[in-house]
Amino acid sequence: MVVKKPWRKILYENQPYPDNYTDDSFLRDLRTNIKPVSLGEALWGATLLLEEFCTVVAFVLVYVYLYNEWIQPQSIFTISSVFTALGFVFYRLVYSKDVQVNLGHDLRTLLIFMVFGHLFSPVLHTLTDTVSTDTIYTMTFFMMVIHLIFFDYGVSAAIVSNSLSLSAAIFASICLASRLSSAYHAFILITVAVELFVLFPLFRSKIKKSFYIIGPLVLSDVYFLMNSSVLFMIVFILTGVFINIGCPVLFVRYQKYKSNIYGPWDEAIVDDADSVIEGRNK
Amino acid sequence: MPEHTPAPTPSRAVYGFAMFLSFKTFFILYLAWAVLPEEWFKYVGITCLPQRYWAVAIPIFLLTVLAIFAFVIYPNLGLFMTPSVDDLRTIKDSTCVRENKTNLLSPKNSEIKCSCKNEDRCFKNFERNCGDYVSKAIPVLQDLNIWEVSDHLYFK
Amino acid sequence: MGYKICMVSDFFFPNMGGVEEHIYNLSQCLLLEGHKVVVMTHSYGDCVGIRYKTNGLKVYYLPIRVFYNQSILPTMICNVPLIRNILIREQIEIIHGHSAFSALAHEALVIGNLMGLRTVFTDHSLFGFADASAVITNKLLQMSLTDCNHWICVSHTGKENTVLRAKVSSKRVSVIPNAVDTCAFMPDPSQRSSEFITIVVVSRLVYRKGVDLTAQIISEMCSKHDKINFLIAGDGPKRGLLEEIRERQGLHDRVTLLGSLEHSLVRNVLNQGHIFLNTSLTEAYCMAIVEAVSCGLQVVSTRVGGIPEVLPEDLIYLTEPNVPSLIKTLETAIDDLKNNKVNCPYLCNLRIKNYYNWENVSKRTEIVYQKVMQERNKTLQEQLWSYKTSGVWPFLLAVSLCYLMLQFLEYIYPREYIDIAKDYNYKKKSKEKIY
Repeated sequence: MVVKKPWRKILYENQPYPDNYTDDSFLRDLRTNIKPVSLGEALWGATLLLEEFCTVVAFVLVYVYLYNEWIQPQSIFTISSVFTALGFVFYRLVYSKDVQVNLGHDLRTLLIFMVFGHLFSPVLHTLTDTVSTDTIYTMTFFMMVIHLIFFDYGVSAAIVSNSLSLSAAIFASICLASRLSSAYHAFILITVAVELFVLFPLFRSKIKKSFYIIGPLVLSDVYFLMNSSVLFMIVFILTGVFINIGCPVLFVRYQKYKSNIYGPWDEAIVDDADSVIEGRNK
Repeated sequence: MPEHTPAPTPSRAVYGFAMFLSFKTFFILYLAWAVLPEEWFKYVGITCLPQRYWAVAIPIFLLTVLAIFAFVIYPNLGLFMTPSVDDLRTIKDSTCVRENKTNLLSPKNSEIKCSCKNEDRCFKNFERNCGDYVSKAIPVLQDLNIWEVSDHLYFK
Repeated sequence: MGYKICMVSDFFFPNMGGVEEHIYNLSQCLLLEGHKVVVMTHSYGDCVGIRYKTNGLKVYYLPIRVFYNQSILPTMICNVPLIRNILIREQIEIIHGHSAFSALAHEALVIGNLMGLRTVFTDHSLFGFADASAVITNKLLQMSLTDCNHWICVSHTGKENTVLRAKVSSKRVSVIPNAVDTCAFMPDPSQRSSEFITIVVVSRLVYRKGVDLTAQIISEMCSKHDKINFLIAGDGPKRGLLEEIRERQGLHDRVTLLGSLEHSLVRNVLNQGHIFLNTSLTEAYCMAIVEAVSCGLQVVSTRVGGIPEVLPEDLIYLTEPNVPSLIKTLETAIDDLKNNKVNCPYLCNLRIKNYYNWENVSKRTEIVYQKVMQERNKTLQEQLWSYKTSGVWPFLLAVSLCYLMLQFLEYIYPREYIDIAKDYNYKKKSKEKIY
């Protein structure tokens, strides 16, 4: 009896097996779903989205309070400036290396912003004056949705575009600014917009996933919403629960239906040469 | 990690899940908008709604565009590209390869010195018969002259 | 008695590449065996109509618009009249499609199945599963080729990948590797420089071929060793990266970029080198390393995809796809070269001739054709039922529409009224063979 040589996974020899022979070792190197995400990771990851959502809600609350004249613009200016200054000091002292060098640059930026803001606030105030209020509110809603979609949550993906999300947020603030009663109100609103959408994300990107940010943010939003409209407070709480608890739970539960396939056919993962060479040159 | 790797990265998982949820939600909202009666919306408090005409019109528009593209525009693009029967492009063009290239071995094969340092283990003169190679070689790609082809097909 | 075969692909001459070479060489070998072979592809600019290539290989350049990456738009129904006419005219029995990227191949195979012809498909590349383009392409592949009679893959890893992607039964997939024309790639050690060690890289300069790794290797090797030169042939989007490295370290005399090369000139470039470097990130079969070994070079390559199956361990140095291990292996290869622990180039050529030659490949392909011709015809109901397994129900509508269009065409332009083309029987001209 002739014993056939065992089948080998090679191409250069004519083996005594037909071409469509399937060995037992077929697909032996196939791996699926090697690293499922745990519930804790998913929950903490969802707080990133919740933080940005709360920021958007806080901004709209500032607009509502200014519009209804429940609070003086000077007080908003003072409160937001105090918070910004505290955050700035904390950021520069803890995370930055050359405080002296950057201090001059920062003060200059602040001065430019104040001067040009005051100069252009009448223009910005009347920019979207002629548009009807319904359209303004719809535009704001869509712009904020776009802002949330394209925001950089720290997860690198092709769809992320920092410039688009920031432009959408600033455009929404300009839309809303035209409904306010004076140019000074418009200036305040835009200052708050810049603080919330430009400086606050920078601050958060250094302090990752801390409970000290998300806690006060959610609580303050709930408190101020309670004073203005109970219906929206309930909607806000429900959305918050859905984003931060419902979605991660669904995500982790649906993982068993996923089929990630790994095997010897996978493309190797290499670092981009540009980044490696630049890193070496520094 | 660069973006063009086809591996299942965690960012793909998250964004894919977000897309899955949002598209499901939009679909349910779309169905609700298209199908539910108006009184139910008024009861909840939504008085201003986009016209329901669009719920049917937009899909029909899109399908019509698709059908016209597939049955009219795309085949006609092909018809435009078809040269007329007496156009010379149907017979020859600038990419035609006409030289008699040869893939014989270079004639001075015997004068090439092999890089082996050990003459005993060199296989250079193992198969001297070039004729064997030539008959088994795959001929180079060339265009045949249309006159010869017509001759061969219809006159022989 | 030969079969009448139609090779279909979007990729054929004047486009240059691995798939095109494969189709041409396979067609020539089948012609030599006495079969009739016709090639169907789309037009390239002025190259439109019918051309006759060497030994009477008839090529149909169909006037269809190209949309993306040399591929036509994948509508399944727009080209039915044209393809049906050609298939009837040439009395085709087997349709052989090539390359998963080619929409024309998919369309022709679907039409062929509906017309009752036999279909074979060759898959030349490895694919991922997770990014958007992969998901769509894999689904398209699974949908349109559910009914394909037989599949051919170029390596065992390719077979595993294809079975997973297209969800096809592994009994219907054969593994037939590519072959190389060893007389076109004869070694010529006299072309090598005696003072420098030349490392040759021949590939398209795209991300997939690991140009990032090559760039880093060039910069490190040139600074560590003195007598090493690099010769790089090929063009692509990442060419700028290599030029930048060359500029930054002032390596103009040591690194030569030749740009894109015709396939017939590759042999000359290979013969100028001692070592061939392949840094691909993924590769189903990799023709380049086989051509390099055929010219007698030592080969250093990344261990990805189907490359470990291609050559025995004494002809290739395999390593992991990262820069430190590639550098270490290159230095091992250079040491072996200096200590003369290398194979004779002509021995390498002889071995490759035995491993991979076109006769062997065409014989194995003929076995596939025989097997396929013995399968029985499927009724329309059975075909539609098998298309259902892909899960995309609207595709059944497209297939039914295709079928209805075929019936309609049969009514307005019946089969009997289509002129049958004369076969170019090249054997009648055997006395005046064209070299």
